[in-house]
Amino acid sequence: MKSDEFAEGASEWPDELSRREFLRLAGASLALAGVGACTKQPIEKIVPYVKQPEGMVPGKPLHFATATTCNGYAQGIIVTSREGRPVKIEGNPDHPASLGATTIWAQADLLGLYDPDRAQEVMRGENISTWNDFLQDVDVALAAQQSNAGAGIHILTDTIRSPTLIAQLQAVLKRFPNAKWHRWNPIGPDSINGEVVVYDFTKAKVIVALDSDFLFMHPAALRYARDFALARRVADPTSARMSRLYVAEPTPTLTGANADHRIAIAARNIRALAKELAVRISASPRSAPLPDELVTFEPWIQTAANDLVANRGASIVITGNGQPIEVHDLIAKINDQLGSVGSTIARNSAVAGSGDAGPPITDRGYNQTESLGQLVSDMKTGDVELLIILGGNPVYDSPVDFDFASALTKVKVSVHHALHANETSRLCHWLIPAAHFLESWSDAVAFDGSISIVQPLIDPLYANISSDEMIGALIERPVRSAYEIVRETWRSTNPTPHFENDWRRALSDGVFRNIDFQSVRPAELHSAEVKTAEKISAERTGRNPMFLELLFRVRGRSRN
Amino acid sequence: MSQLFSPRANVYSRVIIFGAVILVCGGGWATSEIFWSPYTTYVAVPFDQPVPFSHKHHVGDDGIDCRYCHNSVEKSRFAGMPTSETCMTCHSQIFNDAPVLAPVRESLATNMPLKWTRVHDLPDYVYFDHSIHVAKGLGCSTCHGRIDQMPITWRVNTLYMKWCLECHRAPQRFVRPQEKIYDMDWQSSRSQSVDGFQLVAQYQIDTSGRLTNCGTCHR
Repeated sequence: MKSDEFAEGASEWPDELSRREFLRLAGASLALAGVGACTKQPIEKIVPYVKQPEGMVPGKPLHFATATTCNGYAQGIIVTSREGRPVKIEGNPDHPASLGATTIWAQADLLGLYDPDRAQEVMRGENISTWNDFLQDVDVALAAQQSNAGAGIHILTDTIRSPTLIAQLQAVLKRFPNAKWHRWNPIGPDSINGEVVVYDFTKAKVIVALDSDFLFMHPAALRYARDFALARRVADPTSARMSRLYVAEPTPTLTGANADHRIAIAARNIRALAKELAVRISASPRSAPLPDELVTFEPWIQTAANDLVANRGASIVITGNGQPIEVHDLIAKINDQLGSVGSTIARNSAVAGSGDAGPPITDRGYNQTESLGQLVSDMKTGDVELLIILGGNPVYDSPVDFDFASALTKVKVSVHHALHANETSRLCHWLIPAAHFLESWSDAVAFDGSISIVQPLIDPLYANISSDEMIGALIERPVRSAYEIVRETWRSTNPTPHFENDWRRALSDGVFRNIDFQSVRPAELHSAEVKTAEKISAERTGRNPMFLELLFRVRGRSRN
Repeated sequence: MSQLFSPRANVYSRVIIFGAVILVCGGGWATSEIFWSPYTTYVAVPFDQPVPFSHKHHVGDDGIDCRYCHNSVEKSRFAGMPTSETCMTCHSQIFNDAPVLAPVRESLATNMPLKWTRVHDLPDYVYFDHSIHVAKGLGCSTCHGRIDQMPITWRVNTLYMKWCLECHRAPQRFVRPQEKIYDMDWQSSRSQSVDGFQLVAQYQIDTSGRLTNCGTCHR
């Protein structure tokens, strides 16, 4: 046996506590534990309801459908409640993004609710204050903004896809035309092509994923994983065949682990790969020879391209949010060329988050870093007189060059609405404790445009204010409850007498409006933009034999 | 060399030996006495309650069914406690100004619940479900005694594990027909030794020994 198997001293018992001493203490503890149990049953209280809620049987759990969000996208859940306390989250089988499954983050949402470190009180600087005091402060700030149409009002939010909240923010912008709404999601892409693309993996025979972990790190991952598994499970060996998955990815992912053909490729080369793929399936003409960095992947590219062409109309090419807008446009073009749109792919810029309740939230060309930069420069010149930050922690996670923290100190009235007091809250004048989604009414849109009403399971544990009430503070007095605000949003889209029935059914099922996958019209692709994308793609695909790539992988979920 | 033991040592050793035996036996007896005394078991100990509620009056005199107040006894592990509203269904009409009912009226007016003292309180490591016991032919009075004769509620059984096992080992001694569950007068008749087994078979009570598994109650 190797004598130096362990580090020196690691296998020695320390002198301070001898083995005999240890056993003596352990024995004594055990004996004392037994003695400690020799107590009689303590007297306990039994507290019945004053009025028993309808449908409630004491001792039996109740189940309510609601929705959690993943990067703003709804995932239907069913929450078990015992005597008014939510105790367990499971998936909602009726919800298209869940089909009865949940993510690990949805499971953990319950811990967020009961987290004792949550922000509990309305704080004005270091002092505990009240919501009414805050409203008075806001009233003063808003009165000063009447003359200049709200030029000093800025709102900074995370990516928001709640139709009610969007409608409210639109109402703020209507009331104060010069006010500005900035969006900042530190783990999101700088800009997105504004389209909502929904994939049907059950029908796809060939799937090519370029830096996309659609089986795990994706708002629709639960659904896609289920659909993907369905297409891989072949019941009848004669008629059907399994789908084939090609994955090109810079870091190992669950999707890569499920691939039939996987290549490891730098994220920066995905652009060139997409371009090459477009050439091979004749979606675009060849403008340059095969770049050097793709030479080793030639067989993979050719096989994937052949397979895609052979399965025209039954293929999916997908890329991830970490890739720039040009890659998304190229992929869109490839899918168009392959005739997948309308069969395996539904594309609609008007599906999610917009609908009837407001304008599209993912405007094409919107660049969140530029927007945040604009906000910071306005803050530095002292033009920002009222800043409302909904969730997030920009002091911590905005680009360090912006120096958000020192800019924030120049704002006249800054308000942070957050679940937890963080670096940003400490530098803001006001901290408004946000209500957890299990405590407040809201709504959310799923990946395919289905709408869920987020209904609370419990009253706020502390002095929590929901996002809708927070924004309501800018436009209405008295501020209506989140329930009234959310209900009014949907009541206004459905002013029929059977609204009450629809509403109750939506609350019971957890899905307000299930968008039929096939009814979504394919949208026209903007050809001019694709040309630009190709041009940029060609320019940026230069030779660079040695490089170190730093990738930020999302292993969690943005707050809010 | 001097004697190792003096003559007195005999006395000392006797005192110590017999003293030790008496101490151990006496200590054991005293512990057992305390363990089985009402001091620990709370058997026949009336508790202070916010309202001196009399089952004798409500059940015995008025003939109100158990399930009027304990309405989840057939559906849930918890038999249910009457809400303040339940009390006031009658007491808004009768005895509606009785001083003794002031806490109930106040509870309804202020929406603050009454806080009763638990009479039958099992330790938290025991899983107990009323509904299954009622469904399998265990009557109220088997465990709760002649509640219809109690002017204030007390415990008639220790609720110790030994007591639970009496029935879990031999359910045929205690089961009764379904229509007698809420009958306070029911007594096992002479034919229980025969009827009991029939009822056990009829209720499909598991006699394979599963009822005495640890995991049946200590889940």
